[in-house]
Amino acid sequence: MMPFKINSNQKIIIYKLLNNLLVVLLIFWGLALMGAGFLPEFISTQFSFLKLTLLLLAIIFLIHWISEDFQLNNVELKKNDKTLPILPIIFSASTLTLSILNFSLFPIIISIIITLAILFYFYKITLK
Amino acid sequence: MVQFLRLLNKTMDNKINSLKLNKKDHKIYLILNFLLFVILFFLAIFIIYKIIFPSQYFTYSFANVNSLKNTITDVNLSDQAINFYASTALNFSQVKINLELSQSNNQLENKKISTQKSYKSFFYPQGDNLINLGNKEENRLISIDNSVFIVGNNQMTPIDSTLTFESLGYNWDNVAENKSDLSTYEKLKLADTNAAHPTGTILKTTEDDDFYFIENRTKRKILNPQIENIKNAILINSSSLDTKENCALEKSVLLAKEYQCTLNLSSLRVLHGKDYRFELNDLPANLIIKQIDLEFKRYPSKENFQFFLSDLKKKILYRFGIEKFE
Repeated sequence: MMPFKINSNQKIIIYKLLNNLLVVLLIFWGLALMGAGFLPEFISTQFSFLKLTLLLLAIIFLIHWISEDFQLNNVELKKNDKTLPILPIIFSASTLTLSILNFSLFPIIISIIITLAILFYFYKITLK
Repeated sequence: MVQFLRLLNKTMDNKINSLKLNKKDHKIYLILNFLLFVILFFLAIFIIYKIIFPSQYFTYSFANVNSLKNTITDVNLSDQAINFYASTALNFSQVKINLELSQSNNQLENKKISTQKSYKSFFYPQGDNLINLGNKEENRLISIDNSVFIVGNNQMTPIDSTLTFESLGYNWDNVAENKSDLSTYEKLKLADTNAAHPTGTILKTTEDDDFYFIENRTKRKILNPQIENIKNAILINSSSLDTKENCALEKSVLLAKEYQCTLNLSSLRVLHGKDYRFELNDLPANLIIKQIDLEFKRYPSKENFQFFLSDLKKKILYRFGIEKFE
């Protein structure tokens, strides 16, 4: 139940705005995470990852809540959207590389094997 | 930027194209979307500004002395004086001090508050000199799994983060893997940025190569240090004890019970240490302080921007192993 009455068009506007906000904040979150990987505690001393993550979860929850009324069956990944998983792969590879800097050989090998396994299943789920 | 936002907007609209709006609502959506992006753009600018010119707040409430919100530490209030510490790993240009009283007291007007910068352990009272280290044990830095501990004198202090480790003046090259049984060692409180060096720490002045041994909250000068046996000396400045910045408290324009002043920290910036020690002497009788607030700031200037860039460069070189941390 909505605490106040809004019509379906207003719901669509809110839904679209929340989606846009989610994408921008996800990009921001990714860049901040990369920055923190590049220079640990340079960004996190002035910026709370916890608060941003909670905000992202709240937006996802709101989008899910609002979208319950919509017919979103037509929303599908287009063919050219299959290039989309490349971004998370580049992101994962970069953050992994930055996080294992100065590690000894054994943890590096284990981390790479586990990451490759996760990326393989990610590929299987999204593209197959 | 505008191109990017247009592209993003187009992508998002394609994704939810099943949700059609009439012309009027579509216009409202476009306006709101524009406003949203403008707000996010300024938010991003604001965060970048805060990273380049950071500020940090510290507080202490005398009404709730055990509150976890109290970030000012080691508050020592006597009848006539008060001193306290604020610890930060960052460098700042100025600090604004705000004292809130229970009742207005005009005698506080123009009282001078001073600050010094070093490590808490260097501000300890000086004990008897040591001829040499003799049977005194210098602390070691050891790693167990992913944690680093300060170990020595039958005590071990865990360190909470890399920031704390570096802000305490330790060097990563001195960390060794643990190979001894530490089960009988007393485990002390987790060290954070507010921590003081434990017993067994050796301090070394950069100016005259004097060495001090920290023992039971006193510092003892080592007259004949065998330098080759000292592994983890923490660099300090002997001038830290003499270099002070002062400001005179003034009544707040808006609130009668509040007194404020701003200290310039530029002369303290070059000094080693993370702890700022504040002192206010000659307190008027019957003065009841309710709360202390400190706001450390790095104001926007060419010099501070250059400082940010050099700090960034130093950290990048250290991060990628090109240069050692100092």
